[in-house]
Amino acid sequence: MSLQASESAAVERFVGNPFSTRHTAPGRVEPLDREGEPLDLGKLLDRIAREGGRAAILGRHGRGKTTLLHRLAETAERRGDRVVRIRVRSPWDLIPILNSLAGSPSGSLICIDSWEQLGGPGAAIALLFARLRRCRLVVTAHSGGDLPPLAVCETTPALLAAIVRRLPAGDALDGGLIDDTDVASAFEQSSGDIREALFRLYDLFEERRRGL
Amino acid sequence: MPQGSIAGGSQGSGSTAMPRVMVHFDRPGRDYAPRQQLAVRHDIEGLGGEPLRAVERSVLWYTEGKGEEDLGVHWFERIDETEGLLAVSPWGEFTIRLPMSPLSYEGLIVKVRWCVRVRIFFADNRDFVSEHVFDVGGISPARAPLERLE
Repeated sequence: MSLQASESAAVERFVGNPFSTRHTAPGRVEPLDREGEPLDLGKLLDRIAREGGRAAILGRHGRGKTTLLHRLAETAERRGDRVVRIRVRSPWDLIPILNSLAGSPSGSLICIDSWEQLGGPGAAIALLFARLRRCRLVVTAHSGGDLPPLAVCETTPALLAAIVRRLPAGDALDGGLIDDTDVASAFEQSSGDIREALFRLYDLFEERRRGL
Repeated sequence: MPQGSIAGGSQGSGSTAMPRVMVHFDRPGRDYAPRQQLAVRHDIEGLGGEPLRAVERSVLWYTEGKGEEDLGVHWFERIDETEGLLAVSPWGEFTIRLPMSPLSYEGLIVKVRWCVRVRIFFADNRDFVSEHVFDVGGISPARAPLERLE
């Protein structure tokens, strides 16, 4: 066949919008602290054990709770732990949680996103069942409730800037279509909601790329 | 449709290899029509002598934008070490026929992209993914101002 050599290291470059959910959805970016430094996930996992096997990742919407939960789950899996991930959308999701706990061996890590969606009674039942099954439980929630806090996710302009630098072609963004001022402005306009700020940067990137 | 590639992978245990995948398309500008034949050759460099477990090759489409990602695999093949292909300098080629749809689309809030994906699995469980975008259908990019969508 006759092949067009249309790719080489010299012309290799990123295609697409780096702020799309493909690259920025919860769990896709590295969990960072408020200064933009990587979190030590191994230490956090060890802390869950010290807290009696139950802990909550706390923070307001768009602060990185789900991302941290995803990455903790991945780290536990790499350690050889059995991990169950559940996203709660309504109190009815208590049933799959109990089913998962029933089928999980002792020591499993049960990761539950949006814990408050279970409601008080549902959360109490899930906690009791996790204790009976001797499973570890880590959840994301806007407020702590009865669970000891593992991390409180807070955001800063430095954190958003660090996330942007880690996106595909992030190093090339500064001085190009998106610069540090745009990132700082997106953070301010989004009141610290990182997800919202990344959506704003997505739109700005599209606007400038197309010369609108 | 802009052209290019994206690469990434997972960290391994002390591995230093920095693979580079080059994909050569049989059409100038990587522009294809629906149902057209797509012929591809791929070369993998920079393995640093590290043993491979497998190479996966696929042709797929995905959505990119502000919403949830969708994806469809049109063609997939896994070559593992038992087939003895990966010992020295891995390369390969394949020819497939593209489907009628979806067509590539460069929208403002959603895009549909076709790509050739080459995924390399090292013996130490690290993996490396390289995607190479091409165009199906020749649809012009959307140009409506963002304000009209709000």
